[in-house]
Amino acid sequence: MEQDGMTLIIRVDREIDHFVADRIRQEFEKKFMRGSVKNVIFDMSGVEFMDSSGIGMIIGRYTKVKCVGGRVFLCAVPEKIDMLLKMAGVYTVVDRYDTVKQALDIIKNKHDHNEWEVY
Amino acid sequence: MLSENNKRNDVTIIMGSAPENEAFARMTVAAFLSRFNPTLEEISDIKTAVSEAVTNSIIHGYGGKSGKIHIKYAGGDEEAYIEIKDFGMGIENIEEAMKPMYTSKPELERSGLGFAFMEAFMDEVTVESTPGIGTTVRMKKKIAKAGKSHNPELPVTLTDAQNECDADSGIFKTDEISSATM
Repeated sequence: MEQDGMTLIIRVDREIDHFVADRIRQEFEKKFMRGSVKNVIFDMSGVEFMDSSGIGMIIGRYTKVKCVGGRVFLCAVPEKIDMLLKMAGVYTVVDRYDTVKQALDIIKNKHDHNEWEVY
Repeated sequence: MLSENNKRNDVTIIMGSAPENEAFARMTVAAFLSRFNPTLEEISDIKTAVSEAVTNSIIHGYGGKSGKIHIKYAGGDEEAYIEIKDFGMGIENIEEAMKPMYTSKPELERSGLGFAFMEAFMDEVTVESTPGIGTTVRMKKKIAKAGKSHNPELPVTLTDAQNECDADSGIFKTDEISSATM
């Protein structure tokens, strides 16, 4: 996990099951409780396996950051995992981008835009 | 039900309900199925279904507490058979539990898609459960070449290979072909 401003970038393991999902959730909570996280970017490029525990964990992160006006981004999603996410309807609340950089750019632009609105 | 032959090739694994054992369960099913030459997609589908059923036993059956999960694999007649059994709290209302998006543990961020995924990736899923006694999930899936495990097909027959050798000895060497059939 690495942080870029208020954005937490999570490079997900090869397999996301109940055990791995719990670990990601705990690490996220530690940072989120400190108030240092608004957006979450999942780098899914290395994921070879995911079950419904992974779906629950992603939706869970969405409901958390939504409360602070943040968003969840899924990036570089492999085809097989993409199919699961579609089946589960995850893309109705979470956005998908080809690269982490794209997601970071979107966040940055939105941030700039908000600042512009304030002033 | 399992035929006499499938009963002979079955494998049962008994494992504790620690979440880190889920990955091991997935590896064992892939290892068991490899003898039937399944496609990568079939392995992936079955691994997902096994992962869901084992997770259910750990989270719901045993509620995170210690217990044993019995996982049984068998295959034959172009079909894989998987049974996952726990001796946990059981399910009061199976129909409700199997509804997509239903979860008894929303606080644990469960998606409620476990049974839906099992049904999506397997051809047949049956659940038998008695409150206080435990739950057994039985699943079947047609796989590419199940049942032909003892007669693996070579891409070429020996006769073909011999003809090839006669035509152009540079392509095949007979001793390589015969060692491949050993």
